[in-house]
Amino acid sequence: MNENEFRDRLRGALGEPPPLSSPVFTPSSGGARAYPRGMAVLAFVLALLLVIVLVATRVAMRPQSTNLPATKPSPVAQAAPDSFPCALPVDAVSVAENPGQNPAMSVSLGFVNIPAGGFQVDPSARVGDLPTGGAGYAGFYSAELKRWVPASTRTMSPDGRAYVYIALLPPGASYSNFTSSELHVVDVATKADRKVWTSRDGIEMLGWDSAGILAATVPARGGVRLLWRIDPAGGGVSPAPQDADPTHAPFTALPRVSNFSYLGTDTQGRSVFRLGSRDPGVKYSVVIVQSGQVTTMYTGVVGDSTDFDPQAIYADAHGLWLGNADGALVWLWSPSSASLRSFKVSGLPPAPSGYAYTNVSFGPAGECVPGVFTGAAATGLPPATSPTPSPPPPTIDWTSLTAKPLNLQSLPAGAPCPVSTQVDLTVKAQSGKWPNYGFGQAPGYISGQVMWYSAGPQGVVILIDPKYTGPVLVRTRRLDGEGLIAWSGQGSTSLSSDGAMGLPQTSSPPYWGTWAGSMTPSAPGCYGIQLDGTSFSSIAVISVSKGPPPPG
Amino acid sequence: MTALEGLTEANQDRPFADLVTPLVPAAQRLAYGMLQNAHESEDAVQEATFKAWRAFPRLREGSNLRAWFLTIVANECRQRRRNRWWSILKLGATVVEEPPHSGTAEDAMDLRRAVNRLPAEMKLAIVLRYYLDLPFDEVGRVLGVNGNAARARVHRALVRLRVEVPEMLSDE
Repeated sequence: MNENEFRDRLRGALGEPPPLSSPVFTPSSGGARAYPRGMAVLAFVLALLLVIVLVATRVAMRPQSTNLPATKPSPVAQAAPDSFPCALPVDAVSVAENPGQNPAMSVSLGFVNIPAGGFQVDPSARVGDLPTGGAGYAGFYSAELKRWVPASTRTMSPDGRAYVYIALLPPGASYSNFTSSELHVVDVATKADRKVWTSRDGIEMLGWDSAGILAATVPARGGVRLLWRIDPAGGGVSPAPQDADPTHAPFTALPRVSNFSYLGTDTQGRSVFRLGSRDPGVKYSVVIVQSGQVTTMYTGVVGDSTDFDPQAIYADAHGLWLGNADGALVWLWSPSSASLRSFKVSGLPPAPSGYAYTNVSFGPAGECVPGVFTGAAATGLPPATSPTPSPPPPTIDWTSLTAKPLNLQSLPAGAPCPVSTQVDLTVKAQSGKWPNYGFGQAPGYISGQVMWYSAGPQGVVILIDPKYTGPVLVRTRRLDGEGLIAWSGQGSTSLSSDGAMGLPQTSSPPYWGTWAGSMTPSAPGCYGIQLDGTSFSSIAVISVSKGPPPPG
Repeated sequence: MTALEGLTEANQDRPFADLVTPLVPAAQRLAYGMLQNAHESEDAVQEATFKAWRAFPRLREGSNLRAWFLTIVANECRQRRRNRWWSILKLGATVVEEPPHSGTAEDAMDLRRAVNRLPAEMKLAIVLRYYLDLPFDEVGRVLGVNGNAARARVHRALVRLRVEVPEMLSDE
């Protein structure tokens, strides 16, 4: 199934939103809505009743077992913060994709040697001898047992000797048809698999720390999500408060922000959040929250020279390890000295050939073990295969096209914008669904939108009739003032600073050429878009309105 | 009076109303995709709009407004997903599902359940990418990661969906 088919099925599954009313706001209320006084009393009574019902429900739903004390805090290796060299286990995920095809993925388990930064694959990283309940997890390296296990930092015990998996029943069931679920604890050394808890709801693993296992349950048909503390030794289960959820940002403790993201939680229960967006120039912080106390790890500006862009985390005696979004760095934050240190990473799986998009990302998968790891060099995904591999774009001599005259004349003052009329097309594409309309003249058409806006990028499609197969040069000019259109998208070549773009490959008869990307007009106004091929030249005129593009 | 009109009158702040008004349908679509409940979606967008207005003065020149506003909506949906204790009454009315009449309806129900069971961040990535059709760069802005990481997160979610509803997402 390709992306477009999945998109259609998802939309069918979720349904289109019903007509929703516009939000209502009363400025004078200072944010609180103005309700009649009687409503407050009614709300209080209802809230009280609901609390009573919820407490009763939780007591009734509580499994019939005894609460046992939580496990003892696990010992943590007392390595000195600078006890290098050490080998940091990581799971490196390679993704490669061509438009209209399912992505190819592979996971390489291995180590990054610190401080040198070299990545080496661990050839002995096998987890098939341990139960997983059918779920496929990325690997976790247990330093205690010197082996990889089919778990994640979220499902691993604090001492690294056991892990949790969730089994859905009946055997072979999926989340769409299960009738109950089980929480299992596996002792890695003995491979003993113990069923610790059964629920008729779906169990979701949230974490395992010194206080025990934290899990959530959600009814099979959806509904109230409840949190539970589970004793891994005896199976005792007790309700946990909603704020025990480590992904729950404690807004009362955090500075007022409109944008945050959860990065992870360590075995001591400290959650790490990024506060602030990733827009260039925005000030952001990375903070650690524990018991409502906030510690700022780093404050900077997006795009600054530090390039601190953390993702997954893992804490050990060295400090807090963080992967970087671009996969190029590993970070170590030392709580004692409040210092942040980076290590450049090399030797990651190489990008496979024949794909339009490739990426490698990784995250820490266990504590950094003393010594230097020697394994195997990482191998990347195999090259793209049929049915539609993306060959490298041919080398094009664009000078013959750029030498063609630009036939986009300025409009007289006050003249209306001669917007191109919409043309109905019958587009037959090699894959995916494409618009069946366009603006311009054969064989090249601008499509993807019927209205154009000045604030922000918007999707655009260039359709090329299969009667033409060569390269196409795209140039633009605002016809009623100063302005240009910036283009971006895969498979295109930027040819000049004034926005000229080249499409090396267009149609492949009998299929139409389909290029999808984005365009950003610099200002509202009337724009001409000239498409030049070796045997044609066509023009489309669009009117760009002020404001951001509408959604959807 | 709509929120945006109210804001305008109160603050003589035309830019906020002008810029956010076209984004409300996308916000509603995101909220409905995440919460699957019309009333709750309206509430989430309402609250997010107010929070956006409060934060608007801190919005930097050149920021991606749609991603910024959708991030606020997504955060609001996340909070509501966690704070579902009060929503028992609403959910009770909405989780009643008609028995499937055909394979297609049954498949859709399976996929809906599977998507609803995804961890919040995965579900958000799927909704942004395939329900709102946002490019990966913009999905990343809403998720707080870069475009590559957003792509990886979407793919991880798809891999998980393939495990849970293999019959729906096979290549056959």
